[in-house]
Amino acid sequence: MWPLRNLLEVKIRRAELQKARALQTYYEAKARRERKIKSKKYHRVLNKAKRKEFLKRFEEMVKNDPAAALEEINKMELARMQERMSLKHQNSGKWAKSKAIMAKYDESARKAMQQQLEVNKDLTQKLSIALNDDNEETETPENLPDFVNEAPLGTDSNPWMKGKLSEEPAETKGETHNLNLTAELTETAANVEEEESDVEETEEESLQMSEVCAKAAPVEESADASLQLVEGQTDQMQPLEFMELLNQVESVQPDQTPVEPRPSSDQAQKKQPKGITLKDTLTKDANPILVPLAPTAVAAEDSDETLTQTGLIQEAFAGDDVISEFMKDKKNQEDADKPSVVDMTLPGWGEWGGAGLKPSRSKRRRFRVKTAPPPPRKDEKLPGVILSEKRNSSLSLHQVNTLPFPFTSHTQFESTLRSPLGRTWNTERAVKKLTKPKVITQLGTIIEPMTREELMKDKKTINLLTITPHSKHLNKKKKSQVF
Amino acid sequence: MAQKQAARFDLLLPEEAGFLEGDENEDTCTISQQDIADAVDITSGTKYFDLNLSQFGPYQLDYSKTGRHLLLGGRRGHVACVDWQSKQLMCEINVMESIRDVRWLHTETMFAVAQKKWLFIYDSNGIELHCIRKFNDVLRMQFLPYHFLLATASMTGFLQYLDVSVGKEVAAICTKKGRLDVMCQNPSNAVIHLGHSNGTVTLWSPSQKEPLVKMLCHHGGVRSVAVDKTGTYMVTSGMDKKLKVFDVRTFQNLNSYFLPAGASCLSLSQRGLLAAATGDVVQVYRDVWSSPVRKPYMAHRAQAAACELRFCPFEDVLGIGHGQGFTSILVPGAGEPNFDGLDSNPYRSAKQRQEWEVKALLEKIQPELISLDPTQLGKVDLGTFQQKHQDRVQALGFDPLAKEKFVPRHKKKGRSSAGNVDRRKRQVANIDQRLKFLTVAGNGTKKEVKQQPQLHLLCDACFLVLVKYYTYTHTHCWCKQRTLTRDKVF
Repeated sequence: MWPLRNLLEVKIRRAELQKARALQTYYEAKARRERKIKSKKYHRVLNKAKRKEFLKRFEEMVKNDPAAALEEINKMELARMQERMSLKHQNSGKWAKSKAIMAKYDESARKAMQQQLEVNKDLTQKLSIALNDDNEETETPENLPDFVNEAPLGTDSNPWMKGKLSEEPAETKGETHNLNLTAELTETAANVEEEESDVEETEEESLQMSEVCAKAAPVEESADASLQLVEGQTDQMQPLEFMELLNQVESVQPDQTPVEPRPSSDQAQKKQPKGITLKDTLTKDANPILVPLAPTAVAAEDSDETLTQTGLIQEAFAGDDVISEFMKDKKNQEDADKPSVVDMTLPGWGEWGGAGLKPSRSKRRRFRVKTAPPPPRKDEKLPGVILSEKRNSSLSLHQVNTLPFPFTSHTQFESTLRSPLGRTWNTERAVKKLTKPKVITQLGTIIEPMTREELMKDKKTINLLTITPHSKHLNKKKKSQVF
Repeated sequence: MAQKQAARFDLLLPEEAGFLEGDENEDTCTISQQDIADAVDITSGTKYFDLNLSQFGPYQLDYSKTGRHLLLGGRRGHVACVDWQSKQLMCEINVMESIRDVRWLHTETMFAVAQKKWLFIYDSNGIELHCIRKFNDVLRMQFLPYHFLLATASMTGFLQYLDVSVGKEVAAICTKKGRLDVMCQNPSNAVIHLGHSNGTVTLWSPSQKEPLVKMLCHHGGVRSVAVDKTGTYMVTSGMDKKLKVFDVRTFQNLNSYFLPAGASCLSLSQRGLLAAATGDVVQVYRDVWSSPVRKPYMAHRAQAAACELRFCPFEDVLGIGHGQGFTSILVPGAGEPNFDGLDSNPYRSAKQRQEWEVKALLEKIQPELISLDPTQLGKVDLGTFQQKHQDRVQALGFDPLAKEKFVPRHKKKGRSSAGNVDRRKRQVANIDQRLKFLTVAGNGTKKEVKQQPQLHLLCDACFLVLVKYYTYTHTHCWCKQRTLTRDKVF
């Protein structure tokens, strides 16, 4: 149309524009009016009409324009998907709940709820049935095309439907059996492999995680393969076999290394000096005593002979065990009193942790809490004596545990208590002197009350009587001198 | 002051200890009992006698605390209590069971008999007062007089304490050491000594379940243990035929003797004489701990093998219980000549005995106070004291007993001028030097530095010993009751 050459063309153009504008305003006004309509009946009728029209158009489209039909189908599919996902029309929203309250009394509310549910049902209907209903009603069931069982074209959303669906069960049984056997064979092969690997592992004491992983990997792969084989028959899969596979994968674990006994040569060396001194104390030079009278031998015939043999043996071996037993006893006592080393390591936290895994040596060394050594025992210097370090708690109930006021150290206090004051340990004169009171009066003498001068004689206190108003500063001086 | 008084009053003690001295070439151990009995006065001569009781087996014996009454118990059930000095029989019964041990309780009115199964308590008239079933299979008994406790050692390894004033079992300790055959008490601290077959001697107190002390004494089993009256020395004899003397307070072996046949029983007298029995021969040794002994002081051969030896408390008499009965022999110098009339008076009447019993019960000591050191009660409980002090320091934030840190006041002139400070510092340094005993000079030789004298001054009133380093005329004691001068040096 451009360029506009003459007046006519301009007028035509103007008329067209006017018409367009008029139409635009008309349709807008119409839409506005229609939008405002709240009548339920109207909308019901309208929707029905729309649906009928849509169906008619769809049929035409399928015949003439399949692409457009496909688009419509896609839209329907989308709506269905949305409904299935969101479950909007299931009487669960605020509107539906409020309607449910009214539904008891109101017919229309009930109907509205039912309508919503119907909508949901419509939308969530399976398309195949719909498709079947729509498209292939007349065809015989025997000659069903392949695409019936196939997933509808274009649905990329469902990965589980990608694989081929199973054929009829009668034919598939044999195949499944074969498949199972093969699976088992692979499993047993995997087992054998694993057993061998286990044996190898137990033979070699040192084990590293990488090796384990390497060994586990092929096992896992084979397991995966078997899994995949079996996967196709999800409904035929034996749960036990699956569990077995899982167990195999997990059972490849490193065994714990046995702890070797430390050499005890150091201990033996340590014991020797102690043993010597104990033996020394026992076998100290015994001064023989000359006895003038010999005891009369017991008149028993056999006993003499037996004495010579068994008695000698007994005497000879009597002392051997005694020393070692005693030393063992003392060592046990010392160890019992020693505070044990506390191991505070936590597995994990910077290294691998798990069942049957020990934290590394450096970590254990770091977290071993070393307690201070206990104070030296009283029987350290005495090899042949075990002194009990226990405290007599029942005695401590009767003992003094705080120092009375004038004393500054416990030795002072103990020295005042050391000497006894009673009649059992002292003579009568001593007792009387020790328990002499501070003030001794004669019976019958008159005791005068104290005078003020006596009270103030020794004490360095403020002389209250001497304070007079005009001599305050004088007294203050006195105070500072006194104190 | 109390010590001085006691020393002075020692002169007033009425009696003196006896002694036995041989002639120039005579050995005291060869002197026979008959000779001694003939040589002394009649009353003492009658103290040597024999009781022929051959029917009822080897005899156990016990003297009462006053030494007046004797209790005899034969293995086959014969029990007799007798005033042995006047030979008056108090009671004589047969309990129809085997007897393992007999023991007097706090007075001569009651005694305990450890029979085959249970422990029985009888009156001095022979009436059975109690049958204590809790104490079963008792082998040995010891009576702790100031605690009123009867300690029993059983065949099953249990050490049980019975309070005879109340009649309750105070403690039952499972010693886990097997059959407890050998038992004796330490009279100064009431600790029980048990001897075991593995050569150890263990010390027990009723307040603890474990032994207070475990000592290895002999190579073989321990046959007998005895502790002296003051609680200083312990004598043990073992299967290795040795006789060892230990210091109980430091647990050191003082002397060790070899006897050709070993000693089956031991007994220590009040004055430190040791009696040891081997078979039927009884030897008495004098002063085993201070100087090594070469030969016995006295020896005597009994009628049969001796199974029990006891020294009589305030008499120079040793009682021997053997298979054929009882023998009492004279051992001059064994008993304590002066008795404490308020504690155990051999000449007390019945009334005095009753009064004494009441007073003794009032002064009964509780069993939980038994420990190795009898003076521990008078000491400050250092553990709790330190704990409390620590808590106090934590609560307050500072240590109230600690001395305040000396902060010098720096002044330009007056007392704290530079010159004075320097002089004071030099003084302090010199004090430190004075306290040192030795100093090493520059060229490596040691030279002694003169030390200022330390004075220990004793205050009479508070018994506090003050240690002073400086020389001066007088100072006051902290209790403000005494002025301490040079003459109060301790």
